[in-house]
Order: sequence, then C-alpha cells, then structure tokens
Amino acid sequence: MGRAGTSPGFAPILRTVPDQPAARSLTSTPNRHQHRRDWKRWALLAVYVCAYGGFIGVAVAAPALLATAVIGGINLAVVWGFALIVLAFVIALAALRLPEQA
Amino acid sequence: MLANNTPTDWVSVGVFGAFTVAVLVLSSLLGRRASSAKGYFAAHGQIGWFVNGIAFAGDYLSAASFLGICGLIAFWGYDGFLYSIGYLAGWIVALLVVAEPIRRLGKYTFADALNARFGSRLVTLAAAVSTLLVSLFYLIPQMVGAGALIKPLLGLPSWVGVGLVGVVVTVIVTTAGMVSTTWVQFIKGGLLLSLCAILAALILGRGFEVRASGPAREAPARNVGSVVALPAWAIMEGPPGAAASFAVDPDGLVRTEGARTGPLGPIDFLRVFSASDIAAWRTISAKDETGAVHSMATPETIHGDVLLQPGNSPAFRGLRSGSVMDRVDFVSLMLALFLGTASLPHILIRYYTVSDVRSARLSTVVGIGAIGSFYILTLYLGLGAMTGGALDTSDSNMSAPLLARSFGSVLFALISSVAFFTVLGTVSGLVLAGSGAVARDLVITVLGRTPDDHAQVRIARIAALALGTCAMILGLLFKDLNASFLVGWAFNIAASANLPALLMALFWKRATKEGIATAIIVGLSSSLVWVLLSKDAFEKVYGLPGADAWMPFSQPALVTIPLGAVAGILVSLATRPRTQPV
Repeated sequence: MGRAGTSPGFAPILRTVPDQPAARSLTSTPNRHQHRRDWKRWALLAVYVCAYGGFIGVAVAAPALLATAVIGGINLAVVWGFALIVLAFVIALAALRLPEQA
Repeated sequence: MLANNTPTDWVSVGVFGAFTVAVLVLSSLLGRRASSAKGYFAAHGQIGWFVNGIAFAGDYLSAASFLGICGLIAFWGYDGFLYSIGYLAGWIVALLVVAEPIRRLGKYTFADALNARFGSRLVTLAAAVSTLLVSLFYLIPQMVGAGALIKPLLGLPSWVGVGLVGVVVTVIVTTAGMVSTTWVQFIKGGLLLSLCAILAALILGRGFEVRASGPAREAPARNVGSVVALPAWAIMEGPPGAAASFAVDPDGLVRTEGARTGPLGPIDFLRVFSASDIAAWRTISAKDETGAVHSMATPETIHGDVLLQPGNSPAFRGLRSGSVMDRVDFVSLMLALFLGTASLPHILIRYYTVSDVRSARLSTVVGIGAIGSFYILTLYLGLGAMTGGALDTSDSNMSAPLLARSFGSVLFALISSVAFFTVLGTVSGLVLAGSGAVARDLVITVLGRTPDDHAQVRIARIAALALGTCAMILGLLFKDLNASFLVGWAFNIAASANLPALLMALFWKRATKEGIATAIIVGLSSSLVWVLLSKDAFEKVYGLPGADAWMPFSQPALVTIPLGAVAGILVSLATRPRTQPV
C-alpha cells in the first residue's frame, strides 16, 4: 500500500501484510500549513542542540574553560551540566503549549 | 567478601524478599488483563499520562544510570556525570521529534510505526532484528548490575542475582505483559527517585569530615580475588597545598580525625569539594613472570576542582591529552547518547500505552522531570560515595549501595532492593520489546500472515522466556564490565540502526521501503562491526591489546549514523516510483 510500496525489485517479499497499519498513516500525512506551524518545535530543538553542542564543543576545543569558576566557586563544567538538565525541563514545559505535531 | 551472616543481613533479605513477592503478586493479579494482544503489548492504551511518565523513568533509569553512573562518578568524578547529561538530553529529541508521530502511527511494536507508510515485510524484518539486537545489548549491563547487587545484599555469588532477575522478569512479562511491566516500572521509578532524594539529603546533612593537615598513613590491603582492594578513603579540606591525610579504623572504613563541615547546602557541598584535596582510588595492574595480571588499588591525591572537570577517567582522558581520535571518540559518544534515547525500542513502545497524542506528550514531560531530577542527584550520590568511606575499589558498580550502607543497614537494604527492582523494571521493558518483535514482526514476516490475538500473546510469552534465558547467559559472560560503559554501546547501535530510518519514515515523503530497510541494515551492521572491532572491545572484552584494534576510535555513532542515513537516502532515490505520463 502507498505509492512507495511498489518497487518491482522487492516485489516478491514486500507484498503488503493486511495487518500493517498503513491506512492510518496516509490519513495523517501532514500538509504544508501543519509543517509551517511546527517551526516553534524545531526552534526549541535548535536551542537545545546549541546548548548541548556548545558544551561538547568547549569540552573538546577548550577544556580549560570548563575549569573557570562561575557561580559560588563552582566551575563552568558543573554549572553548564546542571543548566542542560534544567533547560531540558524548561523546554519540555514550553512544548506543552505547542500545537499538535504534524 | 562484603556481606556476611550477621543479623543485619536479614534486614536486607527481608526487604528484598518483600519487594520480590510484591512484584510477583502484582503480576499475577494483573495477568487476566493481558490476555488479548492489545492488553499484552500496549496495556489496552489506557495508562494515564502521569503513571506513564513515571513509568518512563522506571523504564529508562536502568542499572547503568543508577549503579554505573554513580560508580563512575565515585571513581572518576565528573566523567560519570557526562553520561547523565547525555542520557537526559536524548529525551528532548524524543519529545520534540518522535513522541507524537510514534503514538499516532504505531500500534504495538517499533516496526509498526516505522512501517506505517509502507506495509513492507522487509522493513518489518529489519526493524525486528534491530529491536532484538539493541534489546540484547541493553540487557547485558542490566544483568551485570543484578549480579553485582546480589553479592552485598544477600552474600550470594553474582550468578544467583543474574538468575533471580531472569526468573522474576520472565514471570512478570509472561503473566501480564505491558500491564504488569508498566506498574512495576511506575513503582520502581517512584521508589528510586524518592530513595535517591533521601540519600542525597543524608549526604548533604553529613557534609565532609575534614582535618587541617597531617601525614598520610598507609591503609592495609586486603585480598579480593586477584585484586588487592584497599578500604575507602577520606576527604580533606585544609590550607592550599595541604596534603590529604586519613586514618584507618579497625573495621576497615576510613574516617578522618578532626573537624567536620557539618550539614551543607547543595551549592556549598560542591564548593567545598572543589576546594579540597581528594584521595581518589586508582587501580594499578601489572603482569608477573607467569603472565598472570595482578591489580592493586591505591589512593591518589587529586584536587576536587580537577575531579569536577571532564577527562579523569581512561575513557575521557583524551580530552586532556590532545589526541584527536580521543576527542572524536568523545564527540561520537555524546552524539550517540543524544540521539539514542529516541531510538530505543523499549522506550518507544511505551508511547502505545497512552490513549492519545496529548497524553504521549504529557507523559514525556513528566518523564523528563523525573529523570532530570534523578540525574542531578547522581552527582551528589557519586561524590558522596567517593567521600563516604565505603567504596569497594574492586567494583565500581557497588558504589551507590555501599554509600547507603554507610548510613545504616536499613537504608542499605532499601536502596539495594530498589536497585534490584530497577533492574527488574528495565529488563521487563526490554524483554517485552523483544518478545513483541518476535511475536508480531518476525512471525508475520516468516509466516506471511498475522496470527490471531491469542496466538500472538502465546508466541510472545515463549519469546519472553527465551529472551530471559539469553539475558541470564549474557549477564554471566560480561559480569566484570562497568554497566554504564556497556549501555554506551547500546545507544550507539540503537541510534545508528533506528534513528535515520525513523526520521526518514516520519518526515521524508520520498523515502521508500527499500530505503528504510537499507538505513536499518547499514546502520545496524556497521555500528555492530565497529563496536566489536574497537579498542574498548579489544581491551575490556577480549583481553587483547587496544593497539591491535581495527577501528581508530571506539564509539561509532559519528560515522555510522550518517552512513545509515546516506545509504537510506541513496536507495530511496534509486527506488522511487516513476510517475506515469498523462
């Protein structure tokens, strides 16, 4: 079932199994408007990727920076690590306000 | 070695027995709700979002998270916390990218969602094989953790712990499938979080025992098999440059002689640790003239601030060495942790247990809150174990339970039993995911038709029995490896095999069934081969020199995730259907 499921090369083994829930997937194919609506979701993901990637980048490229004391004598490595965990929860709460994903 | 037949051990036996009986009774009571396929595989889709969220935590916070991370932090400091950061970060991908489509498209297994657009037997087969292999790799560290726990808890050899988990899990999964597994994971998640919070509060309440200065006294060694394990250590805070010093009590624990900090707040605890000299334990190994390897644990004074930076453990030492390959290895591991969570079949099938997409999202948020809280606690538990005078230098996995023992036998019994419960919850989820892959995906592929409801449940129960047996055998074979280290491999394989295929299936309209199957096969096989030929495998599994390894670094995700994705894209483009001319 579906336009992608008809390649002749795999035809003998790839015949559709009736139990597969393919019909449900086709009814929920997202349209362009829904994809546009999802930009906030991708923006939240980008924020976290930057924070997480930045941490990895500093650990690899300038590990001495992580030794810098930033808050109350605690170094940047610990503060950044805690911040990543807290940020994940903040983003999760923000995601509750997003529209349903396309 | 660590446990003996003292009266206090009976507290452990009693608590452990009560936990085990409670789990078995719960499973038998819930058994009748799981006679249909929907009940067995997805708990009828009627689990509430809050229960499912805590069950996510119960499913995810495995032996690797509790025993492995605490052990790594207790021995190497911040390096263990890197796993905490990576494991939690992966949930953002799960929440924002896969949670809602998976709930909408899937039914019982990972293959259901992946194959929703295609209805292809090849995709089903590839997803089933991937589910089984990832689950087996993930099972190994859980069973290793079970074996490690049974020694101090009941004074029994590790094979008894492995066997006990195998038997109890098989009973849980075969009797009531996802229904009992969910409730076991919910109770375990709640208990684990609560007890770890209590333990962290006790650590902060105890603070550090300190002395200003004084000469170090050597601790007496004791033989533990081939490892000469020394008793634990002490933390000192004194004037800058003061040498660490400690004294040994007759009971083998090390305690400082002198002033204590008293109770500390969470920030002060880290500040005092950062400013202190720490006697961390290191193991030195050498071969004798017969070729036998002997190891000795010995204290090494390291400044606390250094221990709170990455790069102390052998796995991450490359961050300070300047070796390019070691840094690539680190990036690859962190990538695998970030992308692996959303690719773990036993996590993904939990989305089928809630009624709708909104509940899937809410339960993920609850899960992130619970799991994030736990991972913050791991830093305090690990540092508390490092400074608690209760390390077993021959077994890093035992750091958290032995830390609890330093606060009394009742807390030790509770923590160890919950840790054992932790293994049960995660292994149940893994066995359920694996048995679903066999009963629905493999059987459908092989037979070419779907068995009826009852037959699916019957086949799944037989598969659960087989997987439980496999788990026991693997747990015994790999019993000497650190749990968290092994889970790193499982994340690499899951992310490489499943994520490119999942993203293509969910978000790329041009993806074809051949492309999806190719992405899985290429990602799975390349990551598996890479891991088995890596330096870590040579040194820690085969006992061969790491220099002989074939791969330039140990964590494959950085190469094998893109490899699977590129293969899937190319094959999709090559096999896309031609539009008919009008």
